Order: sequence, then C-alpha cells, then structure tokens
Amino acid sequence: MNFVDYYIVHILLSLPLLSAIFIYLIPHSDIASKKTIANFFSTVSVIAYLRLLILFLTKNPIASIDFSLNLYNLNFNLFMEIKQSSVLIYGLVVLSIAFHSYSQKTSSVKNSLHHSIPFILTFVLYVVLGQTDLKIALPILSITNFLIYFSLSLSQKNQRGFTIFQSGVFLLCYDTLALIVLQIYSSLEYKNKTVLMILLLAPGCARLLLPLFAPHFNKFIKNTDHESNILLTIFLQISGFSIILLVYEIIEEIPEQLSIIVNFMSLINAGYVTYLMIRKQDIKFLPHYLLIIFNAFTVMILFSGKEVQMFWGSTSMFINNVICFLMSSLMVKISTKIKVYSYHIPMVRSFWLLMGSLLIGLPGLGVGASLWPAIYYLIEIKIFYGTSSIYLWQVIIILWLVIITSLSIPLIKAINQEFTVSEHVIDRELSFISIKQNLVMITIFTAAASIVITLLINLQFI
Amino acid sequence: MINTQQLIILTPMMASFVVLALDIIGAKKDSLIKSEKPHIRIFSITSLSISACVILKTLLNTESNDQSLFVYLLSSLSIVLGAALVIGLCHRSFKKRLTGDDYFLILSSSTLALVNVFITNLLLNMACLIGFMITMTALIVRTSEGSKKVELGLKLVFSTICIFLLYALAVIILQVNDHKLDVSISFINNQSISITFYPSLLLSLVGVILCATPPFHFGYVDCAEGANTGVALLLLNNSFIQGCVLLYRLNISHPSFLIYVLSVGVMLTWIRAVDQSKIRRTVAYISISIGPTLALCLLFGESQILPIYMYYLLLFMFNLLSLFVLFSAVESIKPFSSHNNTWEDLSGYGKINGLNSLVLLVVLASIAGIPGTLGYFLKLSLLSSLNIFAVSIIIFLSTVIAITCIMRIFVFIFSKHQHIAKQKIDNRVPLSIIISSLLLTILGFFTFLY
Repeated sequence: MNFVDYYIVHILLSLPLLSAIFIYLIPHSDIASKKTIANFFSTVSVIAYLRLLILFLTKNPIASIDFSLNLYNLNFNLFMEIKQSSVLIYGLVVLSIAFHSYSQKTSSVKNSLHHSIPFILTFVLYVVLGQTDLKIALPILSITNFLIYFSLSLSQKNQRGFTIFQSGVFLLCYDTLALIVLQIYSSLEYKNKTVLMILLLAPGCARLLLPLFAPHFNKFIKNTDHESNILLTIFLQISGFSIILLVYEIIEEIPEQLSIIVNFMSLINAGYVTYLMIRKQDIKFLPHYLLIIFNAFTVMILFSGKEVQMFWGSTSMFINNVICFLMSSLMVKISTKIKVYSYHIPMVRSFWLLMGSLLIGLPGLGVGASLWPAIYYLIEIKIFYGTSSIYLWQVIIILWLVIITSLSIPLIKAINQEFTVSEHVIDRELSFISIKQNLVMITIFTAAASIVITLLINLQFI
Repeated sequence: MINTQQLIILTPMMASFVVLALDIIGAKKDSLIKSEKPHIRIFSITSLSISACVILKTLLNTESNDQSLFVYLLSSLSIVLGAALVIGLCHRSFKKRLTGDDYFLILSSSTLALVNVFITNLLLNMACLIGFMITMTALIVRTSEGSKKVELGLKLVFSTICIFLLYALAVIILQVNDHKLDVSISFINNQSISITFYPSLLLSLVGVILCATPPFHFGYVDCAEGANTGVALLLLNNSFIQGCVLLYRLNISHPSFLIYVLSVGVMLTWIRAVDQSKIRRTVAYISISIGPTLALCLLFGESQILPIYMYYLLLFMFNLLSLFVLFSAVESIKPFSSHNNTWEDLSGYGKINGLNSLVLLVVLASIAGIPGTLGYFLKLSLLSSLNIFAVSIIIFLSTVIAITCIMRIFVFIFSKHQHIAKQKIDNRVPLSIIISSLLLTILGFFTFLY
C-alpha cells in the first residue's frame, strides 16, 4: 500500500473523532457552524471511503493500524485491521453518518454533546469493526451504550425512562455474560458448547433488536424521537452485526445443533415481529419491523454453515437491509412533516407501495436483491448437497417463505389506512407535490444500490 | 538505625504529635475564636507526602518476587494517600472548620492502621485495631451533625467490641495450646490445622468484618451514610486495607468458605443498594461493596496479561480511587447530598450538571464491574483465576443487580423531568476527581491496550 492510501485510511478513521471535538467546541448557539462542520467531515469521509472501496474492488491489501508504546516494562498496543470482510460495513457506517448529517435538522434544544454523539458513535464503530478479538470489542461497545441512553433521555416520549432502563439492563447483562463466558470458555471441559455459543451471540442479537433477546425492542422503536431513532438504530444494528461476525470467526466449525437452534430462534423472532406487524399496521414503524425480520434472517444465513456463500450472502443481506431502512426512514420523516391534501392520498399510497416493495423482499429489488440469492444458496447447500437433517431444513425454509410471503399483508393494510394531515408541519409548509420528485429519486436510488451491492458481492466472492 | 518500615510509621506518628502540640499552642492564643488552621493542614499533608515518598522509594527498590512486601507497601501507600485525600476533601466539605484535634485524630488513626499493616504480633495487632476503631469513633462523633452522632458512635463501638472479643478469643485459644504471649500470624500458618482451625476462623471473621462484608458489616453502612464524606472515606479505606492485609497474612489453606462469604457479601450489598430510595444510603451500600471485592481480588485474583505487582497496584488504585471519586461526587451534588434526599430529588440533575453526573456514573459503573471499567477488569481476572462455576454465577448475579441499580440512577438523573431550577446549582468538579474517574475507565481497557 502506498503512503497516500495509508494516510487516506488514517484520515478516514480519525475524521469522526475530529468532527466530534470540533462540534463540541463550537458554541451552543452557533447551529449553522455545527451543521456545516458535520456536513464537511461527512463529505470528506465519503470521498476517503471511495478510495478504500477501489482498493477493495481491485483486491489490494488494505491498511492495518498498529500503535505500540513500551512504558516501564508495560506494552501498550492498539491494533485495528480493516479486513476484506468488513470494508463494506465501513461503507455502511460512512453512508449512515453522511445521511444523518445531511438529513437531520440541527436542533437548538440539544446541547453540544448531543450534536457530537453521532460522530463519537461512528468512531467507536470504526474501532470495533477493526478488532479481531471479541474481548476487546465488547467492552468498548458496552461503555458506549451510555451514549445511547444519554441520547434517548432527550426524547419527549412518556416511556423513555422505562425504555432506557430495560435496554440498559439487557444489553449490559448480555455483554457481561458474554465476556465471562469468553474468559472461562477455554478452561471449561464443556462438551456441549452450543449453549456457550448462544450466550456469545446474545449481545449481538440484542443489539439487532431481535425480540427473544431484546424484549424492549417495541418500546425502543416507539419511545425515541425520530431524529435520534434512525441513527441509534443503525448504530445498534451495525455494532450487533459486528459482534456476530466476531463470534462467527471464533467458531471453527458450526455444529449442526447450533445451526438448527439459531435457525429456530430466528424463525421465532421473525414470526413474532410479523404477527405484531399484522396486528398493528402503523406505517411509521414498518421499516423498523422489517429491518428486524430480515436481520433475523441474516443471522440465520450466517450460522447455517461456514461456506463462503453463506458469509457473503448474509453480509450483502445486512447491507441492503440497512440501506433500505435508511431510505424508508427518510420517507417516513418526510411524509410526517408535509401537508397531505385529500387529492394527494392516492399518490402517497402508491409511493408507500413502491417503498414497501423494496422492504418486504420482492425478488430483484431492495432487500429482495440479496434475499432470494441467499435462500437459493441455503437450499443448494442444505438440501441439494446436504447430508443430514434434510427434512428439518426443508421445514425451516418453508416457514421462512411463509413469513416472507405474509409480509405483504401488513404493508397493504398499512397503505389502505387513513392518511391524516400531519400536525407537525415544517417551516416552508411543503406540499406533497413539491417533494414528489425527491421521493421518486430516493426509491430509484435505493433499488439501484441494492442491486449493485448484491451483484458486487456475488460476482467478487461467490 | 531506623529501618524503612519504622520511618514510614514514625513520620505520621510524629506529625500527629506535632499537630496536637500546635493545636494546643494555638488554642491558648485564640481561645475564643475558632479559626481555620491552614498551617496545620499544610503540615499534615506535607508529613503524609514525605511518608508516601519513602514508601514509593521502597516500592521501586523492592524485588518483584517479594509479593508480600509489595502488598504491605501498597497498603501503607493507600493508607497514607487516603489520609491526604481525606484532609483535602474534609477541607472542602466541612461546614465548620476542622480543628487541630480532628487533624490529630486523622493522623493518629492512619498511624495505627500503618502499624497494623507492618507488624505480625497478634496482641499488637489487636491493640492497634482497637485504637484505630476508637479514634475513628471519636472522629465520626466529633464531625457528624445532629442526633446522628450518638447512633453512629454506638454502632462503631459495637463493631469495636465484636472485633476485640474475636481477637481475644483467638489469642486465648492459641495460648492455651502454646503458652506464648507474643503469638504471631506466622505461628498460625506453621501449626497444624487442629490447633489453628478456630483461631484462623475467628481472625478470618475479623477480616470479614473489617471489609464490611454483609451480614457482618455492622455500623459501616450507617457511618458511610451518616458521617461526613471525608471521614467516611477514611474509615472505609483504612478498614478495608487492614481487613484485606489480615486475610492475606492468614494464608488460609481451605479458602472455599471465605470465597463464598465474600462473594455472597458483594451480592448482598448490591441487593440492599437497589432497595434504597435515599441517595446517601444507596451510596453507602455501594461503597461497602468495594471491601469484599478488594479482599477477593487480593487473595484469589491474578491477571493473565499483567505482572502480579501491576495487578496489585491496580487493585489498590481501584480501592482508593473508587472511594475518593464516589464520596467526592456525592459531595459535589450539593444541595442534594444530605441524608434525607432521595433519587427523586435529583430528577433531571444530569441536564444541568452533566460533568458531576458523569463522574458519579463512571465511578458507580466501575464499582459495579460494567465492561470497560477498571472494576470489570479486576472482576474478570478474579473469575479466570478462581475458575469456580458457582462463584462465577454469584459474581455475575451481583453484576446484574448492580447494573439494575445503576440504570435506575441513570434514569433518575438524566431522563426524568427536571425538578431543579437551573440557577440553584453551580457545582464545579475539581480536576483531581475528573482525572481519577478517567483513570477508572481508561485502566479498564487493559485487554485493549496491553
């Protein structure tokens, strides 16, 4: 790697911390400067990342950062490695922070620390994604949880306290348990290590808001302000997935028993969320529920086997899922802040149908661009070339197909509900017509991005 | 020729006599006016600093394989530094001025604790320990306010009597077997278990009481709650260290009973902490959870990545920094640090005084053992060296309960609606407390850095 690329990587990794410091130091009242700094650093991050992406696509080695200090017989060592497997997830982080900087209105109600939290969380994600040892990544994420709770505390919702309490207790307890298990893992003469592996997965699954591990997921979704909800959800999702990837790398060979247990747990998670969606069709929360369902699928695919198709299939699934969630959240935000007159409603419904189709896994578009190839790989490996529990795998796949098919029910019901005029009207009193083109562009971009990412990964590595 | 240990003990001892003399001289001159005594304060801190320098010099020259000496030197350093911090903290926290008698009591109690760390003769240990408890009782009664002082004094006297009886019984049993007057702890370690079983048990119980381990914590919680924050820090710091050194010296051959008593004790403190609605009472229970944790880690803990002397250094730093930051943070949340204030009164405090709240939360997280803090690193080292499944479960459960307690406090401080007017509060956090709380988090990343 030449020295320019070396510095570009260092710049990319240090930018969020620099921007957090700058934003914190800017006086509280100077909102415009904070927004400008945020936009500037996000843009530079995107440009730096593009270079990293080119290195990844041309299969060049990517940097590792190693900082060592020897102090009176003590070695201090800070090591971060950008692996081939995590480069795309770095891109997701860059996209998320750029999305947040450009789309969020900087509020004068929040203090400087709140404005810098997104960048601090981004830096933490960079550090965590660069780790190869779960014993290092998990404490960092654990202590960073408090920033999330700090952000949640600024919400005006009634049950924010209960949400913070529940999510804090669950996440911290899972982290502690996983670290204890890791510490005593090798010394235990434990023949059936499946249970220990499930315990190691718990912190990641809780951050992915899977209901079995995060019973507070519904409260979390409903009790955070829209502005902070998207960023916090993305942070939790990416950190959860990185934990799961690290656990995946710990395990040398995935036992069949573990695979089946993880699959059934994912099915239960997805089934429960689908049931919730069908029972309560609130279009505002649709993207969140669909994000959780497909993340459950992602975990299932990843732990179905150590084959390279499974790994890249689940990675592309996760990335597509998050991108679709980001775009649909933007749509939710816009649609709740504009005036909707009665003659706009058919157009609104059609846009929601379009966006919803990207989210519910229709083949070829949005989430579906990665979903169906992943299902194909699963069938190929477990049923066509499988040697054991073939009937069980058939049942699992059929159940997943039933869940995926039934996702259209809550979407159609949600679109058919009454659209009322929103009480929160933004300054310019935008009407639906004026932002129609923006919504079209968002939808097209999301569909295109999902297809490109899936093709990229499938052609490169599978 | 004075050796190093004698020098370490003599310095604060002489300083305490000088302070007493200065106070008597000063009292004769200004008999009607109770003025602040900056010269006594400076002299006390200087003498403690000299003692600390001597200890540090000895520490640096100690060979790394002499673990026992290392532990005793670190213990004495903690006692000396603790006394210096207490003088600084008391100066800020006392509503009335500290008198010369108070300085004398602080220095003399620290001297007695130092003597107890270095000598091994049981009778002298008992005398120093009783002396320490009496001086602390006197200090607490002098510096507490209102009707609380009587209650605290009585409870500490009860603890003192219990310790005295246990010690006396242990010595009597040993003398019945050996008829020696100057029995030492090394004598216990060299005899057969049939002779030393009951004395070891009794002395272990003394150590457990000194570490404020439930259900043997007697008056420590009330003193931590009701006494002045600086004095509470002095009592807990010196008691924990003396208790840990006693248990360390005993070198118990079958420590299972002790492991379970200490680990269940940690869990019980957190269960009681969750149960409290008052700020000072909650903090008192949290502060006494440090004692059994310190004892467990000192006796049975070992780090796989750090040399043992580094591990001991971190352990004693954890004890001192946690107590210091905890009591200072409580002191800094005035006017809500009185005994009747509940967590409800602190609703929304975090939105006005973010730094104070952050410092408090960091120290609570460290004591609880939340991942990413020094307390977590020490607990994890303990679990990996003990390798007992039941104890791992107990410590995990105590961490879960601790997490519940801390999240409850977090919600009160940051999430609830503000009850407090912004203009009322203007509490600045001293730099020493900020640095101490930073150390409690940064040092927790040892697996990350080493």
